[in-house]
Amino acid sequence: MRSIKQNESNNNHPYSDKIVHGNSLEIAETTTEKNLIESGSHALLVYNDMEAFREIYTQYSRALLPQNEVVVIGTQYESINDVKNTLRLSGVDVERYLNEGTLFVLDAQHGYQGADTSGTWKFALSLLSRAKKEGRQGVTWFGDPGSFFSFEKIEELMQYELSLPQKYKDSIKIVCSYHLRDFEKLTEAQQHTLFDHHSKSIVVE
Amino acid sequence: MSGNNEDFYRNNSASSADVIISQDARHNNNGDKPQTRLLVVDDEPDIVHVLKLGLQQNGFLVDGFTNSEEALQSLKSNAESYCLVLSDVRMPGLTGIQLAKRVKEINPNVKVVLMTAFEIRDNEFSKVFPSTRVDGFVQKPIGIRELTNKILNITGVSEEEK
Repeated sequence: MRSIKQNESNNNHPYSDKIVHGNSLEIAETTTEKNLIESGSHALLVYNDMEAFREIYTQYSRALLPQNEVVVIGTQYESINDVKNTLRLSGVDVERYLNEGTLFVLDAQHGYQGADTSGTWKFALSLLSRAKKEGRQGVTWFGDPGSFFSFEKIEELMQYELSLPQKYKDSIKIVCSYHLRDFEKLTEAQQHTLFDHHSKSIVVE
Repeated sequence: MSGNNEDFYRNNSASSADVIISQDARHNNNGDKPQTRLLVVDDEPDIVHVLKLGLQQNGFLVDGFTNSEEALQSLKSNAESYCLVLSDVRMPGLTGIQLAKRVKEINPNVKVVLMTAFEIRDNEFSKVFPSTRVDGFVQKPIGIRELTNKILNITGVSEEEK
């Protein structure tokens, strides 16, 4: 399974019933409206290009922010301003949600490659704690781990992923959002490990 | 094109200065001197399109790629023909820094300029890739005129030679 594409033709693949495939519109819609990623999920999202990822986080933010959800977007390949502009152009009241503290757009590389890799996870937990106190619906975290590939730290990436729980008891969704070109750099065994460790895997075609 | 990219290349519209450069370049193109050939790499198609158009208007020959692996293949096939590689830093697959390293291995004479919309931290990659040398950094957003001047400075090509 060097390439995810090979998965599609292999119905006997051990993860074939666990991986959801779809185009970006389908995935964005089912993620947002049909609760494809349940509360408490540690999900794996593999997106095939930036447009697909934009479609997903934009639709999700547009629908869930007004429902009192805290949304965090940890960006790797778009600047923070570009993400905010994309959200604005789709009709999200970015300034309002930033001021309310329910929308966060962060440089994922800064978090993952900073002094403490687990700092991002600690931050997510602190947001969850605050969300509970404020009566928020929950926290959703889209984090792009692309910087691990940039810095050629694959072992550290695997350690980090495996250090996170498969499922959470609380109202938090962690969506590890990999660009396909990065994900295909992983060995077959590493891909298997990640599919196995995440509670849900979604591949955008 | 998104508003971001329009902002990114806010100076790309045909300002009088750009037009003058473009006219000079066309004049030079009538001579025997080869044009400066650039390889532009960014995972955002809109950015590649705008950069390619703007730099071509300023007299450069430009090959644009949204896939850094494919850009590298092009460079391998035409190792002596490129003068400079202008690449985004953060790209999936092969990053700008990794591309720079490979480019220098193939042809050390090719200049490499990296561009990023994120804060440029000089030591960001030097700790991880200490042997990788790049010839310049560009902070997005940048206008085509400024970018052209930067490229001319780095390549040492004068306006007349371009």
